[in-house]
Amino acid sequence: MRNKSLRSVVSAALVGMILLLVTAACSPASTPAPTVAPPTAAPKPTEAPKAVEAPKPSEASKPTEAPKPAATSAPAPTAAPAATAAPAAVPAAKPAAPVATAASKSNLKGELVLNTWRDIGADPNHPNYTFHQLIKQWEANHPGVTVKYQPMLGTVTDIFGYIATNLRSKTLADGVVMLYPSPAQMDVDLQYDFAPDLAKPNPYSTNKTWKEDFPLNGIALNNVTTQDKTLMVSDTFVGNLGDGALLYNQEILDKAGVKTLPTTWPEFVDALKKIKAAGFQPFYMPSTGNEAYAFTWQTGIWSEQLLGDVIKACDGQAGEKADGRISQIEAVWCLKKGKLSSKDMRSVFELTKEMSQYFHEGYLAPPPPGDPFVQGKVAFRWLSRLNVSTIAADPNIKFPWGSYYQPPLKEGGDGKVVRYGTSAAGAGGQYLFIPKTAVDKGKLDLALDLAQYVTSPKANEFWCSLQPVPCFQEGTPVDKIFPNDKVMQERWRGYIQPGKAASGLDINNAFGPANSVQEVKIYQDYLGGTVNLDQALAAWQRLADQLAEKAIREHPEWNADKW
Amino acid sequence: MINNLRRNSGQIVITAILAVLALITFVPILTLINLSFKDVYQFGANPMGITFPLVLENYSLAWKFMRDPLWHNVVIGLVSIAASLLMAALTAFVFARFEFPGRDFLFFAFLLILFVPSTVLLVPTFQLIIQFSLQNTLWALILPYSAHQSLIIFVLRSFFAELPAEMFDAAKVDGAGPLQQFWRIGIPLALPALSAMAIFQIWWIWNDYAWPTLVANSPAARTAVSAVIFFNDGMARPEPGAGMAAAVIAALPMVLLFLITIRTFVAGLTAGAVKE
Amino acid sequence: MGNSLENRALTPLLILPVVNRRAELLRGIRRNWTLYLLLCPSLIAALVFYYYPMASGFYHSFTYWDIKRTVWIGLENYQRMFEDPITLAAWRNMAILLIANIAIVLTLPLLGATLVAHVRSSVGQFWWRMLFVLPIVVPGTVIVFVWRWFYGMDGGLNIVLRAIGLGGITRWWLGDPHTALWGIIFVAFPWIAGLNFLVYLAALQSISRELLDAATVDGASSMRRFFYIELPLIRSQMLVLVALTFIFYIRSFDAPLIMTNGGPGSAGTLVPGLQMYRAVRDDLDLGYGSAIGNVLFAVTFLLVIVRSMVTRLRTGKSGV
Repeated sequence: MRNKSLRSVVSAALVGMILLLVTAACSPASTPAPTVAPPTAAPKPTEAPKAVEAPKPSEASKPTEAPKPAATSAPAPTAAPAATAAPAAVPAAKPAAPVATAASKSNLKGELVLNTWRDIGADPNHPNYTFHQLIKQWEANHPGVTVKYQPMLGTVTDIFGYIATNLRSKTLADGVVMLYPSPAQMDVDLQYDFAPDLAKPNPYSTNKTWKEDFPLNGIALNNVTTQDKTLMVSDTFVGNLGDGALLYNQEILDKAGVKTLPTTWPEFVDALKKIKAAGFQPFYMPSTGNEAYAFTWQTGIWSEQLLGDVIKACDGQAGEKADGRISQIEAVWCLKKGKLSSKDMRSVFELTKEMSQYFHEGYLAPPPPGDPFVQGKVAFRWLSRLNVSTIAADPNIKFPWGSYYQPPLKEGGDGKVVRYGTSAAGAGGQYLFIPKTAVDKGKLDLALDLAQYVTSPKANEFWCSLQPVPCFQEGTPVDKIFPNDKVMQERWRGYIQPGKAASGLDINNAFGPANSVQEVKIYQDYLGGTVNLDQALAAWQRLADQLAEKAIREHPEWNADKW
Repeated sequence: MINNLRRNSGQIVITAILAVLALITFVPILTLINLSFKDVYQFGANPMGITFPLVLENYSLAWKFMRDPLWHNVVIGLVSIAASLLMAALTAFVFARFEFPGRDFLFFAFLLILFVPSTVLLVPTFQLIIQFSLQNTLWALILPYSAHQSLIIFVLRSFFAELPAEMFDAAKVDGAGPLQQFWRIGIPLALPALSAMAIFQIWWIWNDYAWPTLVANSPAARTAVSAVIFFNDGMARPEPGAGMAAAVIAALPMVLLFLITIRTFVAGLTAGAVKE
Repeated sequence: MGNSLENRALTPLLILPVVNRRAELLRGIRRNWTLYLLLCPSLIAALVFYYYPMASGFYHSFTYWDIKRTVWIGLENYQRMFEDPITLAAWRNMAILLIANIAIVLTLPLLGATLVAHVRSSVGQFWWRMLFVLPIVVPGTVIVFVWRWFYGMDGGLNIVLRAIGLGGITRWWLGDPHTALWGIIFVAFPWIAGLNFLVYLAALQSISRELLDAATVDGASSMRRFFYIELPLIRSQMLVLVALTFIFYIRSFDAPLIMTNGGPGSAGTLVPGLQMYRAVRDDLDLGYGSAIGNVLFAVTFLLVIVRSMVTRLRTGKSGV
C-alpha cells in the first residue's frame, strides 16, 4: 500500500542518515581539531576548582602559542624554573621519578584500587599526570603489587558528592586521590588517621619524621587536619600560586581608555565604569552554571575583607588553633554563638549589589554555550589557575590578555590582596586518603606505603617540576620564574602575585560547594529584585543556621551542646 | 458549486492552520538538528539558518561520549522490560482467570501503587540502593524499572479476563496447571498487547531523567538523557554544536523505534492513557 | 414468613455457614497455594520497591538521616518545611504549572485533534496524525535542553522575535524571575503534538459518522456539531487526560531542574519535587527530602479522594 511504501522510504532515509552519522563518528578527526575541546573536566566551584585536561600539550615555557602535539611531558630545558635556590628547587635537568630505596618494602603484595579525580592517566600533558607517573613508578618498585584506577568523573560537585556519599556507604576503593578537600569529604570515623605515622620516619626519606618531609612546615596538611587527626596527605606546591586571578582583555581596556591596570579599588571601579561607557561588558560574573564559582569567589573575597573582626573572633575557637584559617567547626561555633550572623553579611550584600551594575549581561540566566571571555565580550573574569592552560590553548582568542589580581577594598592596612581558596603557599596538591574499609580489607600496608612514597621529598620535587608553573621559592617575582618568556609572565602574573590567604570563613569553605550554590541563589534573589535586603539577609541567616545544625548533627563528637 | 467551494475552502483553511501548527511544533527539533552541525563560529553567527560546511566532527565527538550510555539504555531496557512484562503478565493472568481468597484485596494493593507519586519513593529507594551498594551500577536502574508493573497488570488483567473460557478448557482437560495455561495459551494470545506495553515501558524508561541522574551518574551506568545533560553542563565548555549532537544521538533510537513499530507504539501509548 | 417449625430447622443451618466460611478460607488458601506462589514475584517487587519505600519514607521524615546515621527529631523537618518561604513559593509554582497545563490540555490538543479529524481524506488524516505524534518520541529532556538554548539572549526565540519586529521584548527569559516559570510552561508550544492529541483524535475518530451526518442533515453548523455532539462524547477522555496531566505535573521537575535548577533565585521555578531532589542529591539531607515527599503524597492522595467523591456524587445525582 502507498502508505507502507512511503513509510519505508522515510525509514530508509532515517537509516541512511544514521549510517552517515556513524561513519562520521567513526572517522578520525581531521586535525587535532583545535576548535573541538575534548570533553573534560569542568572548571568548577569550591574554594578551588578543578583539574582540566589541557586539550593541548602544555606550552610549558615556549614563547609561541602554537599547540604542539606530542610534546614531552617535561618543560623545555630552556626555562629552568626557580633560578634562585629554593628548598624544593628543580635542578636544570628534569628529575626522574624516584626509584626504590633500600628501605622500601619490596615484598608488598596485592592489588590496590584507587578512586582518582577524573582519569589521571589519560592526558600526559595534564598536571595531574605526574601523580600518575609517581604511582606507576611505585608499582614498578613493588613487583607483587598491581594498581587499578576507578576514576570519578563529573563536575566538581558531582565528584565531591560521589566521595561524600560513598564514604558514608563504605563503598569507596582502597585509596582516594582527590583535589581541594572540604569538610564534607572528611570524617574521622571513616578515614584513616595518618598522625601516628607522621610522627615516625618515612622509609623513602632521610628525615627524622614523615611530617618533616612536607615542605613549608606541612602547610598542605593544615586543612585536612581536624582534632589532631590528619586524614589526608598530599604533595606540596612550593611557591605561592593562587587558585584564582582576574584575566583581563587588553584590547577592551585599550579601547575603553584604561591605560594601566588598576592598583587601588577606586581605580578598579573607575576602570569598570569606563569599560561600561565604552559599550563593553566589564565583569563576567555568572551566578549559575559551570562557571558560577567565580561568583562565590568574588563574594568570598569581599566578605573576607569586610568581616575582619568576625574572623578574629572566630579563629581559635572550639578547640582549634588560632592559625588564621577557619575550619568547619570554628565556623559552626561562630554561627551558633551569633558571632557570625546575617548582620555581618549586610555590607557584603550591599557591595555586591553596587557592583552588579558592572556584571555582564544576563548574569542571572543560565549561561549560553561558549565562553564570553574567549569571545572577547567581557573585560575581566575570574579564572581558576587549573584552567589557564585551556584558555591559553583556545585558538579562538584573538586579543592580548593576561592575569592580574583585584585590588583590596581598603587602602592602607596591610594592603595585601586576599587570595581565595587554599592557595598561598603550599596549595594545590593531589590529596590521598585511605577509607577505613581499606584498613579492614588489609590494604593498609599497601596504601600507606604508596602515600609515603608519593609524598617523599624526591617525589615532591619530581611532581613540582612538572607543574605548569614550576615550584618556586615564595616571593620570587614572575619574571624570574619564567625568564625571557613575556607571554607566560603576563599569563601567570596574577596567580603569582603575593597575597594573604583567605581565612575560609564563608559558606563555600565551611560547608562545601553544594551549599554555596544555595547561597548564590539568595544573591540572585536580591540582585534580581525579588527580595529586599532584609529578606535576603533573613534567608541567609536561615541557610546558615540550618547548615550549622546539620553539621552539628553530623558530628556528635564535637559535643556542641557544651559550647 | 458554491457548496463545493465552501466545503473545499473549509478544508483549505484546516490544512493551512495545521501546516502552521506543525511548522511551529517542529521548529525546536529542526533547530536542534541544525545546530548540531555547527561549529562555534557558525553557532554564534547564524544559529537559525543553515550554514555550510556541515561540521560532522561534532558527531564524532558526541558519539565518543554517548556510545556507552546508549548501550546502557539498551541493556537496561531489554532486561527490565523482559522482567517486568513476564512478571506482570503472569500476575495479571492469575488475577484474571482464577478465583482465590484475597484476590480482590491483592489486586487493589497493586492498583493503589498507581496513585503513588514517584517523588515520595525517590528518597527511600535511593537509600535502599545505597544500602546494597548498587549505586552507579546498572542494577540501580534495572531493579526499580522491573518493579514498575502496576499499569501493565491493570491493562493485561482486563485483556485476560475477556478471553473466552473455551480457549483454556482443552488445556484444563489435559491437566495443565496455571503456569502451563499461562505459558502455552495466555502469552501467545497476549503478544500484541505485550508488545504495546513493552513500547510504553521503553518510552518511559528512555525518558526518565531524575532517577538515573541521582543514582547512576558515573560512566559505568549513565543513561542517554542523563549523559546529554552531563555532556553539556558537566564538562568544560564542549563545542556547543557537539552538545546538540549528543542530544540528537540520544533521541535517534527512539525515533527509529517509533518508525518501525508505529502502530504498536501508538497502541501502547494510548493503552497507557485510556486505562479507564 | 414460614411456619415456626421450618424456622427452627433453619437455625442450625444458619450457624454452619459462619464456621464453614473460615474453614473455607483456609482450605481455599491451601488449595490455591500455587497461585500465591505465582503471584510472588510481582508481590515481592511491589513490596520492596513500593510499599517498603512508602513506609520507610514516612518513618524517616521524622528523622535526621544522612545515610550514615538516623536520629529521631520528630516534627522538625515538617516545621522547617513550613517555615521556609521557598516552600510556599515552590507550591505556588507547582499550582501555576498545574493549572496552566490543565488549561492547555483541555484546549489546544483538542483543537488540533478536531482539525485533523475533520480532514476529508483518510490518507491526509494518517499523515497529519503521524506528523503530530512524532514529537512524542523525542525525549522530554532533549526538548527542554533545546528550549534552554532557545531562551537565551541570542537564542532562537529572541531571534524570531527580532525578525518579526518585536525586538523590544527580547530579554533573558530564564534570568528574569517573572518570566522563567512561564518559559517553562511555554515549552512545547503550541502544545498540540503529544499523547493528548493522540487520545483526543482516537476518541473523535470513534464517533460514528452517522451521528454527525444526521446532525448535518438537520442543519447544524460545524460549530454546533462540535459543541453539542463531539465534545460531550469525548468528555470521559478529557477527564482522563486531566487526571494524567495532574499526576504528571505533581511529580515532574525535570524541566525546572534542567533549565534553571530552580532558579533564578531561590525559588524562581522551584517545585516541591525539585526541592526534594536537591535535599537528597546536594545536601544528603534525606530526612527532609522524605518529609517533602510525604507532603506531596498526602496532597495527591487527598485530591484523588476528593475527585472520586465528587464523581460519586455526580453519578449519584444524575443516576447514570
